[in-house]
Amino acid sequence: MANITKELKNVEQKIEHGIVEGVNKAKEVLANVARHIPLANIMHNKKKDTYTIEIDLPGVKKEDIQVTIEGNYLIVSAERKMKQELKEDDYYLLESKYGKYYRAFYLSDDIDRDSIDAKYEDGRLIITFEKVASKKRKDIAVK
Amino acid sequence: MKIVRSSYNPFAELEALAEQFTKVLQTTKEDDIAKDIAFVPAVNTREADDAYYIEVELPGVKKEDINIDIDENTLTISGERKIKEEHKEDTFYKVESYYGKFERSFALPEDADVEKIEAEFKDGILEIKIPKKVQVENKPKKIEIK
Repeated sequence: MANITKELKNVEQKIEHGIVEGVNKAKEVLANVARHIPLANIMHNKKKDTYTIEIDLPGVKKEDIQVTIEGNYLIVSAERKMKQELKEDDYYLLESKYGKYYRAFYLSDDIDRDSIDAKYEDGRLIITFEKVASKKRKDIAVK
Repeated sequence: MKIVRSSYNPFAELEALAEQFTKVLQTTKEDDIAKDIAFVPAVNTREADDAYYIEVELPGVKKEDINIDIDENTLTISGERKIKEEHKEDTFYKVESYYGKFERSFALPEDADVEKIEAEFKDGILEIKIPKKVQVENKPKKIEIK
């Protein structure tokens, strides 16, 4: 009887060990994959004919943000790193999401890709586009 | 013979659920609703050897729109995330961020040095440093008998 319990405990430990190892491996793999989607706000100013995309990226350093235009997509990727020597375990409460962020936005035809302007301000990435010149709002004087 | 009214109510379950739902809303959010709180920001807290740290995520909030108050042993961070003046007349295609008033309170530990609390706002993160009180060493004192 004692042998059976011993054996069972052994099996249990092996399973536990296997699970922990598996989770660690998965974590390793996932560390290189963008896991978080940042919150975004998109607006259009009809008077100035500008489009603005605001992306919340609190705690991200300016140099850890990449903005690229690929085909018809605007791609924003960023990484939020832990401060200096801090680890997750150093926190009592950790509600922020650290790691890689990724989001793509489709650019319609009437957006002038060359007019792109990006700035980082108060934890937010602000990207603005102008409308293609020929499609801009025009006020015509009546003679 | 009595006519017994059927007590069957097809909406009974739904009604019960609705009642429960309102109850939950009332008990947990009464204060927030009274103060018109729109959202609760994400927070990280940690402790170092000499101080406690509170980090509050406040992207898009202006420094001047943040208040930090201490009342007895409670530290309260409140403020408002406003839509930028230049976007007030824009058409919003998508709004995922929270706008409006926010508030979050923390109970301060006993050894917190309230007088020396510092706060810094950078990259949308408000970091509050709460130094620990330097403990006065209680060396046993020997009194000599004259």
